[in-house]
Amino acid sequence: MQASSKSFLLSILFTAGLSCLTIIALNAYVDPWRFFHDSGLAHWDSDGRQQNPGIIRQRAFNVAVIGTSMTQNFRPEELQQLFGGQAAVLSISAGTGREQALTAGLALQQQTLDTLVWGVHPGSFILPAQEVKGNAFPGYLYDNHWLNDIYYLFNISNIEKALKDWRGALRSLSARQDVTGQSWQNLQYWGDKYQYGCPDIMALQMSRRGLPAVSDDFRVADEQIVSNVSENLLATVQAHPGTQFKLFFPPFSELYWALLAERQPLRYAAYRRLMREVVIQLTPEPNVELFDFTALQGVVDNLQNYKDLIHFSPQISSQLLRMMQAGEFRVTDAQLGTVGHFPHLMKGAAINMAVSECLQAPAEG
Amino acid sequence: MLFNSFEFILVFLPVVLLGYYLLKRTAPEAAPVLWLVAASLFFYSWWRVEYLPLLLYSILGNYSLGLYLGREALRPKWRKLVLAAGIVINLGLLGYYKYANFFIETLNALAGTRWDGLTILLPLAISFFTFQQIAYLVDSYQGKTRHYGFLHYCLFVSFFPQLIAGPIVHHRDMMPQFMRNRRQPLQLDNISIGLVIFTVGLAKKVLIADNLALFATPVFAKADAGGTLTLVEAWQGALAYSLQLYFDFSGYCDMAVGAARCFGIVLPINFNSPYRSRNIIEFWRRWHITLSTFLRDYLYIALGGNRLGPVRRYANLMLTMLLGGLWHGAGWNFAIWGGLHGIFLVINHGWRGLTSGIPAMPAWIHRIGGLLGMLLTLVCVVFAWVFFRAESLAGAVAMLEGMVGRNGTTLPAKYLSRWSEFGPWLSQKGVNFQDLETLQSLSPLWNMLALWVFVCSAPNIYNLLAHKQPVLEEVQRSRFALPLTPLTGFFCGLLLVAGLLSLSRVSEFLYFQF
Repeated sequence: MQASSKSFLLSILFTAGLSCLTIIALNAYVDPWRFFHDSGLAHWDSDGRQQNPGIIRQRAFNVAVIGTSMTQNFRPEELQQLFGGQAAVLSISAGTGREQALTAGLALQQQTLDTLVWGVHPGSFILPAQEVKGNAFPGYLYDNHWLNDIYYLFNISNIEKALKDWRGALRSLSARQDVTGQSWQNLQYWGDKYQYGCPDIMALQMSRRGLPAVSDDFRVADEQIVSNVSENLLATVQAHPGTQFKLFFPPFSELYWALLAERQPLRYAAYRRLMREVVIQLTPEPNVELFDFTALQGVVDNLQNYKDLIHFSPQISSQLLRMMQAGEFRVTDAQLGTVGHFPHLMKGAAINMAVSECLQAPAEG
Repeated sequence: MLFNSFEFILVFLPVVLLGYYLLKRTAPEAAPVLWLVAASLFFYSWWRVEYLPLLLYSILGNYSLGLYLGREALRPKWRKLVLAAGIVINLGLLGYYKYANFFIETLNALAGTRWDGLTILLPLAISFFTFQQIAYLVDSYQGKTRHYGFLHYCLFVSFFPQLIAGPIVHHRDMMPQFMRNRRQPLQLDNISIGLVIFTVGLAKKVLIADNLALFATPVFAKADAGGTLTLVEAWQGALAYSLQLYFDFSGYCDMAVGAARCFGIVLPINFNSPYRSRNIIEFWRRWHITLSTFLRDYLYIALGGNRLGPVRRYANLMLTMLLGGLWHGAGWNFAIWGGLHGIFLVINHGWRGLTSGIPAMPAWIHRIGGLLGMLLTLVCVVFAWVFFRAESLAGAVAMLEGMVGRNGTTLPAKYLSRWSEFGPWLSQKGVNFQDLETLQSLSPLWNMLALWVFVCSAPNIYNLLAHKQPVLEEVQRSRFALPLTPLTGFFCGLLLVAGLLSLSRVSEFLYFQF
């Protein structure tokens, strides 16, 4: 009995050991997210959570963009033109405050950044300070513990990507040049994938998320907002005094704010509270410039600029960059009372009218 | 530390195993036990070290009370009082940590008060180690315990394979093994059997249960958010969750049994293909067996069991199941789930009473009856799981409304053209063809149904290893006995690697919250 168990154990250990070594070797060689080296076999990918650490480790830049989908349309070439040097867009679609702070932290640790542009989406920073997107966030890519690298080397999704990338590279002889020549700077750009304007906004809103639903069960404690801003924004800023931080509140459409205020008053209040907290904690910092574009007239009041109620077109992204460079709409602590304050917000019938007008608006040629 | 983590599989388990067998060969008798206790306490503290003092106090207090209750010179009344005090303290702690906020919320809802909830962190495994120790106290009171050493008692409560989520072990089963195990040499057979069972459990958890969650979670989330569910998507969510829970829980139990077996300790079976049951009574003999046994021995029988006539019997059954439901979680959904199973059991017992006089049927009728019984049991169980899984009562109701077809039937749009004449016919009959976020294809549903057939018909790992006595109880032998040969070692190795590969998607066991 002992003898058969011995051969069984040897078999299982040999099989598992050999398989593990093969997988580790494949993953380390292909390195699908370019974590260890600038692998010529790996394709750049638009998944910011996974790909940003690879960009940060394998490319050199002095200007970075952090944020959510609101900042994915910033063009590196424009950033380079305005701020000089080389730029990287390191946004994370629907990124939490913690995820953004970890990305910023890694970029600041690995690179010498002169300027960091950070789009502060209120929804990201009202969450618990340490919240990340569950298992979708690969925390092991954001630390320097070599033991955690096993999660990278032993990840089934990474193996799949490695095999896919490898197959892609083998498929044609020129693939190697194609892969290495692939741009890493506009990976997340979605500006040309959507239509903008009323009919498209409503079609998209209705088919995907709909208008903000009526809900009054949203509770977020003040302490949560304070700690999120403090742990994720303030701590990052204070740890890197040599970098200039350009923080901004994105220009959501006026209709979105109105709907939020009417249908989800508690979330609306939390967003406003968050914006005030950012002003209180960040504006005293010497290396911070804070911009508030939430009331940017000509943009927020014109739905032709949007693909849904919050996502604006690439032209607006360019406009925001220019305004930040010119110092327009900059907020100081003296303006605390005006931030997150929307005195002329539509109410009741006006909202309904705006929605129905939008629904009936003809498509623009 | 999760069983399905690199820390546990690649570091903790091998190190503890190595240390244990080294100490057994070289050190004094107490050393390996001490090593296991220390390892178990470390394992327990891995999440939050703040929980550790409570566990230690609980062990120390219950051990002392058990010793005291075991003294023959005690007066019966005083003995009873000491036992009652012990149970009250144990249940009081459980009640405080697990049910205080539930009580406050219920009071606020009923009386319109505005009492603030308490800031309490539920200590890990408290439901499990409380029950184990209550059983120990009751048995000490009844003179059924022997004098156990403190170290062995510590190991009985804290033994890491079973500490966090069961099986709920009984001192009667464990203590003799801990004491007998002292001078046992290293047995490769134990490690082989343990590794096979552990690997199967890991695969069930990370390869099956976690993937099923992808189909269950969005549907229940939609229901909890107030969404409207149609027939097929609601059933897909409910079936996916029922399977997820099955593979998650049985996977965890397999890992616990496998890890313990590597140390030469045989645990009781906790999960014996429950979805194969032909009635609810049988279901509860196959699902979470150690909990059912505890509830039967220490609650149902203590309430009078079936000794006080049918009315009291059914009342006892209902109460036991209601409390069993609440044991799983502090919420009305769990109480309803327990209550539903109580009703099912009462009906099942009643039906048995009614049909007991009927003469034996031909074999084919018996077989058809068995299949129908299995189907009915599955439907009842799946319906009840809806309350178990939904986060709110409204969410559960939304799910059930979908499952009974109140919101109509919607199928993915592509099937309208794919099912040449059948699609339009269904459309005429009122079936809507439209893509829903939670139902883009019927392929997952077919796969789930195939999985259902598999779990209802295939032998489990204990059946396959019955010739190796994988658990304390005798289990039914499968026609095919799994041999421990180099070939099975090869496949087991591949399965282990597949499980390891999926570990970067770490997710918690559903039963940890209980």
